[in-house]
Amino acid sequence: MNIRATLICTLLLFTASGWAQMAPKPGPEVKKLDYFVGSWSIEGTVAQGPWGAGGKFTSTATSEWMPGSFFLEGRADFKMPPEIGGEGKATSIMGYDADENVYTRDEFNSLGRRNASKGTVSGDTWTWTSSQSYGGQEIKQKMTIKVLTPASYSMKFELSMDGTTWMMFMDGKATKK
Amino acid sequence: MMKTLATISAAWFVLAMAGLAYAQMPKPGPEHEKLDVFAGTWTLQGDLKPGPMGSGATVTENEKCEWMEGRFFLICHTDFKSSMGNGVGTSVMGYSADDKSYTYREFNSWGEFTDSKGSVDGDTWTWVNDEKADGGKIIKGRFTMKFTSSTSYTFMYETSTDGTKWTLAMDGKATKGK
Repeated sequence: MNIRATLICTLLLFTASGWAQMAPKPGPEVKKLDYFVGSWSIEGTVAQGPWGAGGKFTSTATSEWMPGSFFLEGRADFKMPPEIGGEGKATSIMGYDADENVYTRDEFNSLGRRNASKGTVSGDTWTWTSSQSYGGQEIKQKMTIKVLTPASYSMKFELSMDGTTWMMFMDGKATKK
Repeated sequence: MMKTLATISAAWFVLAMAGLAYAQMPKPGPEHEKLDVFAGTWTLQGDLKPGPMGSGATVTENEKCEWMEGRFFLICHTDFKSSMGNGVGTSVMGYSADDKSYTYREFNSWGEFTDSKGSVDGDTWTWVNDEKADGGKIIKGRFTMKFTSSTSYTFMYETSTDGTKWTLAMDGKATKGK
């Protein structure tokens, strides 16, 4: 099933505009995601905290444009300390929501977690925020990515209960292969 | 100061619980397993119904759905063809234990994306979503799939502006490939 496409077809059918007039094209905001295209190697350090002793985080990720160049589909293998999940795989899709004027990033991983983030970019810094429910308690998450070069960026991942006081969970660096 | 300490203590407690949750490696439940009916290769043939400004159309989809490692999420890649245009889509189905509902997130080559929530009752799956049409008007969608065998289901897609009166927009049949 393709619910969205079905709805669009339905709407088109009931309007006189037709496909030719609609044929959407990605805008300049979407094109900024092009930075993340390609294969990346990520190395980071999980801080010591109530989640455990922390340790090394590594990931290899590949992202490519879906046909239409509106969405960037990524696949990643990751490895982190066993007490917070160990090894796994993730699929992510990044895009831009023109209605809300925010970037979107949806990640689904082999540990059963789905994370929906909203992002903004200011100069060389991308900020992605989201929240996750742990035992019924919402934890706010913030990933800050600072572009260093066309082929490298630094990152930090922070957690907060109130959106004001942030705890460093992980920081690291990504390098394009 | 006391409030700050209390907040931090609470945060540590919750995060410790989160760590514990991960230590007990999650396993998919029976709700996830029910999604297995969608795994595989499917061909869908649908008829868009004629309306005041259109004479109807046919839609054909070829879809391949595979479990992600961990078997929590089913990822589907779809090619669709219609007289309105062709495209491809990627969708992810899962189950939210918090919401006690199935989840469906779809992205397509027209730049559209949507979120739907699903439920299953016997052999019938129902997915509902809200979409913002031109002018900001919300259109509700309801996609109902009724399995007629392990390799086929019928479907219908209805729309509504008020959630009460539904209009059939499309119906059709899906057949699982070999």
